[in-house]
Amino acid sequence: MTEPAPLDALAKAEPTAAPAGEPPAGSSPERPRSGSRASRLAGLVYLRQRLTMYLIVAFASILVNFILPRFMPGNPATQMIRDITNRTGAPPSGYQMRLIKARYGDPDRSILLQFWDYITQLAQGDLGQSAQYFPISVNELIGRALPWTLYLAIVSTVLGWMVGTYLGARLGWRPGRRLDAILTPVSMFFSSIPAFWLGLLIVWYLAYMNGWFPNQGAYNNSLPQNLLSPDFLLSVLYHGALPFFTLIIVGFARWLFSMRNMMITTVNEDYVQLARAKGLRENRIRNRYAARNALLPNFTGLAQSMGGALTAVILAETVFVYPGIGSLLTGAQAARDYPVMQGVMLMVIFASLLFNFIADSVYVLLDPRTREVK
Amino acid sequence: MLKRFLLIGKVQIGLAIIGMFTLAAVFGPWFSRTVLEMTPQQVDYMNLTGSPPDAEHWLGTTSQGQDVLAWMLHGTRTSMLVGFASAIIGTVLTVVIGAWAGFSGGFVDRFLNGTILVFGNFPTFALLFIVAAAFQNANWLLVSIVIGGIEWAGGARQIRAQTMSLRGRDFTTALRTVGESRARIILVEVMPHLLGVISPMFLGLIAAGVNQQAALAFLGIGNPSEPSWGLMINWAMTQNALFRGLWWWFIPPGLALCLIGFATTMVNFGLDEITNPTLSSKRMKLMRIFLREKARSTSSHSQKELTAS
Amino acid sequence: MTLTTVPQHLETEAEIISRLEDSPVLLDVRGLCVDYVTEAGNIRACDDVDLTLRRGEILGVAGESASGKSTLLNALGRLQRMPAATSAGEIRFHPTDGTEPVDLVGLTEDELAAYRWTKISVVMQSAMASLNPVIRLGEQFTDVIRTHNPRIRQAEARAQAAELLTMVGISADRLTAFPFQLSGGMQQRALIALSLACDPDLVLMDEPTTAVDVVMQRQILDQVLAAQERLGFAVVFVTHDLSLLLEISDRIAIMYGGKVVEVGTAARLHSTAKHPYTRALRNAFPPLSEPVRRLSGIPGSPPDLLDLPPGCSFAPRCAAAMPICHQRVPELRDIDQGRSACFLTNGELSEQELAVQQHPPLNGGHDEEGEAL
Repeated sequence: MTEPAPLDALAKAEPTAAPAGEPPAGSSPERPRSGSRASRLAGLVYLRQRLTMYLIVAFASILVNFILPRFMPGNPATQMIRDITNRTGAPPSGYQMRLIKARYGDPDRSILLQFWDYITQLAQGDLGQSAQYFPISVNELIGRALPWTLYLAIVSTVLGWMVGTYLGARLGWRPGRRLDAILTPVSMFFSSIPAFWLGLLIVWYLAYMNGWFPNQGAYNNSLPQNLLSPDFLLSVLYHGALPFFTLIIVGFARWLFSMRNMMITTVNEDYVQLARAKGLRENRIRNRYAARNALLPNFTGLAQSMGGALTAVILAETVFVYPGIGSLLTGAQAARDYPVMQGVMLMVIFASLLFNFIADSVYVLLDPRTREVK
Repeated sequence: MLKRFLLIGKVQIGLAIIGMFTLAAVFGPWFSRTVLEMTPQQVDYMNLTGSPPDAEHWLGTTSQGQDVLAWMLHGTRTSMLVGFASAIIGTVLTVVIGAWAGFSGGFVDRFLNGTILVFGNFPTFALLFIVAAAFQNANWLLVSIVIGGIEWAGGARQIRAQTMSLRGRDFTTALRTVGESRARIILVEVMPHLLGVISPMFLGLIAAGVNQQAALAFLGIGNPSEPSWGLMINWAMTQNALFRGLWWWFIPPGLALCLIGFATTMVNFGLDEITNPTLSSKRMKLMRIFLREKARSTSSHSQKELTAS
Repeated sequence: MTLTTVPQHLETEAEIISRLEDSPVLLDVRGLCVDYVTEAGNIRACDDVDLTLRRGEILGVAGESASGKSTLLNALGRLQRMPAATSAGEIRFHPTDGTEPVDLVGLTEDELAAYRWTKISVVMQSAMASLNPVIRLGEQFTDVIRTHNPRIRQAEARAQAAELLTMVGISADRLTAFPFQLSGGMQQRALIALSLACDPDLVLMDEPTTAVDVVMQRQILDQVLAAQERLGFAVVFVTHDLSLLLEISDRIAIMYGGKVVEVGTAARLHSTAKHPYTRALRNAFPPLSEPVRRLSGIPGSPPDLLDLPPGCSFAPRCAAAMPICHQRVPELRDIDQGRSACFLTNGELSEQELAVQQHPPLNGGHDEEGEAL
């Protein structure tokens, strides 16, 4: 072994899931560690590294967003001005025109200056105006849709993760039994179902054929939108049932089998054997000694899956006509509304990076080894 | 190793499914043209409103009177093409960047590792969406390039780690002292050791490519002249296929997507069982049989003792 | 109190023998067989092992890798992992409170809980892998203390843990540390302290010193011996390092190919080993206390347990092998001062038979002549 890093045990225990980015390997295990304050600091150093990386990713996606329209076939700026003219019956004002050109390419200005304009607009939180619903701003459209998407994404991902992880821990503790032999292949199949396809089937069967659930929307339109009204909240839950069901069915399975495999591997680790030799109660061995450690890769996986989860939610929303980002996006796509499409995608990227960072922070709390000094 | 791998039931099932779809992708359009004598565009005016599967249209027709099987066969080609193309692009990037980073060390490694991290955190679909929307009617190659161009990072990280550990091993050091070139060492000596990392990644990329393409086509951003599974679902949805009872139009493309994902998961599970024997289901089964027989023999043994006393 | 002193009183061989004879039996192993269930067939890693361990005895078990010594140890503690399973035999544990002996092999996991750690504890080979990396050291002590004695409060359990750590020379404030924050030697000593947490009658030690350097090895061994002298627990100490065992053990069992091939006191094995394998093993390791000399490795490699030779499994590597060694498995028989499983010494063959074997009437090409040392 060239690197006797204390993380070796963790790395060994991670055949299926990738480690959390850069392995925060410590130095030689021969040196006793200093107090907890130093290690807290080390945790912050680790988080700062992650944050830097996310900022780079964010910058890169902004760059892509900036460059693409300028390489697009046809000139989007001209096309958009034409669109707006067609829709509103009058060409946009000079100020609007300048903004559009700043965003989508202006043959008269140097590319660097254009980028500067673009960045300054973004920095002010301005994503431009929708071509489709001109002059409503993209910010406003996203602001209306984003809460619904986040609600769907966070709740369904967390629920799916919990269900899958719990079942996986149970199966992995005693693998090879009948429940394992059935549930594991079935979950492999479930994990491969496209959310949008399953969503359509579910809408068709549960909403259209049987009428048990509403077939679209996020709440009862006849009720006033009041977050404090119990009727309104109930209708939100009721309308959310089918999307949640779809997303959880599609989502829980991958956690199930990654947790199952991690658990089987962990149960064979020496420290679980030792816990067994100590005669601790089975619950404690399973939960505190085995599942606690097996959980770490699944947790990393949760962080890395948020981007993908948002994608699944966006696709499912279009099926359930849920008033979130996904519906906004497909509408914008149909109308070739670039400002909205780009704004939404930037939001999606930022949101998944934010989730990653939150998960990283929690990971630092869960795994003391990340607090190692580099 | 390879033989043991192929003997696992999960692997056999998975490879069989992938093989079946590959065959359909290669020969499907030809089969549809010459045997079925149909193309996806061809309209059967006798079955204009969508008819259930029968002898003439094995999978029925769409609401426009087009043959679903012909659509499926052509769609398989596009979907698998995207799958394989993005897998090849992604794998080449993975191997080149991962091995390069792992083998060079120093500044090059730090730079490449940073690149790997950045790409590993890119939400693929969002970027794919932006690109596809920008280049209207993105064809399969562009879609594959974007998917392969982003999805390589996870594998590259593993390859880098593996190469780094291989670099430290005796035989590579020995080869370097003999004066073998670095590229040759990587290609001839190190690569075979990395197959365990590369093959699951390749399969995963196929599934990712197929799925992302389907999602894109489902949203209507794909190329409408390229029949694909996602496009079929999109059309079936916009034409309200399910609500009109045309399930034979809606079910097959989705099922195909499920099966591709299922197959890659199965194969990867089998690979895990090879690299990590504690996961081997075959071994678990053997163990259960052994313990059961032992329990039976001891219980009959103690019964004998009882009758003797 | 820190245990760093070497035991002052060095017993003679006769004293050891009489002490062992006076001491009641603690563990009685009869016909223990352990199989590894694999796709290629079942591998018998422990074959028909008989052992008797007395209270307070230090029993060394030595052998090359794949000799079955670690498998035996895990079987004694009922700690086998997946492909390994006890297929036959019994392990009779005689409780020190005078109650009826129990067969550990027949107990369910729940019934075993009463014996775990309070009667039998283990020290595993790699401390780094044995301590849970994400649980603080203190909790890994207190949970076992409180599981077996729920009346003890958290604070008392912590005080006990601190005392145990101090005993092996680790400062008590390390209780709040995570295992990876300790050095390798400290981890190993912490593991030994942990094994003593519930005052066991028997501690199973699986190469507890191979992962640390020689200086640390010495220190750890001294602590183990000092603690053993004070607390009086019995030890089964497994290692490949026979010279180390010769220094610390009362008796030593030598394993080869899953079988015990020789048992005897340390002094007897040192001076007059009866099995050629024991001699080979002895010559392969430098004694810690002797001047440097040329060492001889053992020619050949350990046997393939899936494909054992028909006779004595050591015969293919044995310089003294006779024709019969390749045909029949020698029994492990009681001999003067121990047991042996070699035709040359176990008394299974009469003297004439031995003579015939060593000087075959036909010159069949065997060249065992004059090899009997």
